[in-house]
Amino acid sequence: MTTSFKCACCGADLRYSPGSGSLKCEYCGTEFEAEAVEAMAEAAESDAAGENINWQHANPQTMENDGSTCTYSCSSCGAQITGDRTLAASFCPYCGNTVVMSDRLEGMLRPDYIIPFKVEKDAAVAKFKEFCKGKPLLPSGFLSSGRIDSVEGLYVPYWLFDAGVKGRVRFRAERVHTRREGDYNVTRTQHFMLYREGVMDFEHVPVDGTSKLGAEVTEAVEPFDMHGAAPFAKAYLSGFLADRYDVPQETCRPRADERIRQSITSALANTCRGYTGVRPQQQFISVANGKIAYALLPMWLMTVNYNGKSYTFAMNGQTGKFVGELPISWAKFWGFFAGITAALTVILTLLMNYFG
Amino acid sequence: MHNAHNAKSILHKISRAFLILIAFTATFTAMILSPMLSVNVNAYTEKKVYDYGDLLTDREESRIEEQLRKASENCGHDIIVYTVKSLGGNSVSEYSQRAADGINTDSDGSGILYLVSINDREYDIYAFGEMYERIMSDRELNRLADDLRSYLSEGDYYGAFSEFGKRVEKAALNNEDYSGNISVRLTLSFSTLIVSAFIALIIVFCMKQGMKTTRPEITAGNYVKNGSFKVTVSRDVYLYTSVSRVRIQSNNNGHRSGGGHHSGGRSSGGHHSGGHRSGGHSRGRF
Ligand SMILES: [Zn+2]
Ligand SMILES: [Zn+2]
Repeated sequence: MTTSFKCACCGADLRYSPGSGSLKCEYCGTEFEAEAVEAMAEAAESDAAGENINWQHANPQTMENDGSTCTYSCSSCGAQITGDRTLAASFCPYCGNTVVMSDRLEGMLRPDYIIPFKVEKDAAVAKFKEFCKGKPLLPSGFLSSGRIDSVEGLYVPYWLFDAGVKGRVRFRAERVHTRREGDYNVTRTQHFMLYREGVMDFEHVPVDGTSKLGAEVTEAVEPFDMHGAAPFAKAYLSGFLADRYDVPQETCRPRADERIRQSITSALANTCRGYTGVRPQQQFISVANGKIAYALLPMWLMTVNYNGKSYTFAMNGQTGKFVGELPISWAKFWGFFAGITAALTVILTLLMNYFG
Repeated sequence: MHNAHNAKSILHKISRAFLILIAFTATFTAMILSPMLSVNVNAYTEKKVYDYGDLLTDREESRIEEQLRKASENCGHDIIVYTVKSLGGNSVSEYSQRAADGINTDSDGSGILYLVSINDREYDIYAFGEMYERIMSDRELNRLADDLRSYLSEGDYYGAFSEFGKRVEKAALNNEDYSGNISVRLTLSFSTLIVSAFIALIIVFCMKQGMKTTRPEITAGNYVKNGSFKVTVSRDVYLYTSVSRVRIQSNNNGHRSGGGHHSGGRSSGGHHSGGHRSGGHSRGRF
């Protein structure tokens, strides 16, 4: 039986029969010892085996409506948000446009977990003002003419991924020795293949189940302290809005897999000591008994309209972490660029003339 | 989190500092550019050859005189030849400097003086003012002096002075023989501009980065159960060794220092003792 694999040096296809010992690549001339040959062949087989990931899906049930909640719909972005009938919400938390209470009762999905709000609305406004401070590129009119259209507390739907994960990662790395030999600097680079396997338990890795905010926002407000996650109780909803997922868990799974894969890879990379240029070549995870749960996580969403564009800012309702993207004045951007360039040119020229 | 906040406030301070810098820039730029732009009309002397050492025949002297006068007019700097029998106990650079001061009395004056003392068998090329600052810096002076030394050793004074005139004129007119200080500085300031623009771009992009805090996470490190990470297999396999050789550059570009004939500070750059104009020498024996 022969195995074919790629030359670790030039990438050419090599063939190998077990027990044949060392091997020389006929393309680049690199010689490999028996152990290296076997390791490369094993790596090729392991690559072919691929990943084995198995998640058990959540199955959130629709809650029966007792008449205390109603659905608000936004005609602008299409959001359908559940809230207290008494809340009388008038603005969409996602886009800041007006919402109407709809008669159509969209049943709410019962989450497995909920993290209650811990930070007040005032904090969100204060954090926003602070965020705008010390921003030289902010258009001058943004704070004065931009108005905060709405600040809404929203329970954002997330999928939570729990699993004991096994990772197997293959790294390439080097050891470099340089020394002088006569008129030459001779650099000897020893190339290594580092194989690592490890296990890691993940608890409640969140992936947002809404398409309205984007991972840029829903992941930027992380981390959520999952110890604060409680089994769902309806009382937590009072005074806040709650959305239901529009991105199914199947679609969110690859995102969770990717973050888990990167976590385990970086943990394993930290065990590769004494090398330079440690870089993953192949990263595989196995998830045997993964569980997905449905959860509502708290977020303050703030919409600011400026120059006909709406800007959304978000604050983690549990930790108060504030994120957002401010508009940029390109006039200021290029002004600073020109000014700094001129200042540096003058300074550098002076330095060169007097010390050069 | 704390670090991020610190970085933010530092960035804030930096950007404020730059605002102040920009204000200074305008002033500095004006200061630097004005002497560059203004046409420097030097009062230069009529007589160019002072042959007190009698090294030239009358005919040679008038030819050199004619050549240096034309060259001086062409480039706007005094190009002077000065010969003496003896330095009278003075150092050669002291003597040349004093001679130049006596001839070119303009404090903004610019020129170059070639002093040869026949009894001491010493020479000095002394450049001052703009000639020194822009055209004949120490490196060029040394090159020129080196190249002319053989004429002096052979007693071909006419050849030495004629070549001197040609080379200085050429350099002043920014010829390829002397890449010259003017073009060197222009390219320097051009690369300075590029470097500055690059740094400025990095700074404004940092500012721009601060405008946006929304970004996806990379790992799920915040959701790892404490102490659950275990390495189960760890295997390091040596694959192969690659070797690269780089020849060590030997430092034989430019001047080899320490040729016996001009030991002891042959290139005494630096500033004129009078303080009002700068100058540099390249002196030696022949
Ligand atoms: Zn090869
Ligand atoms: Zn909306």
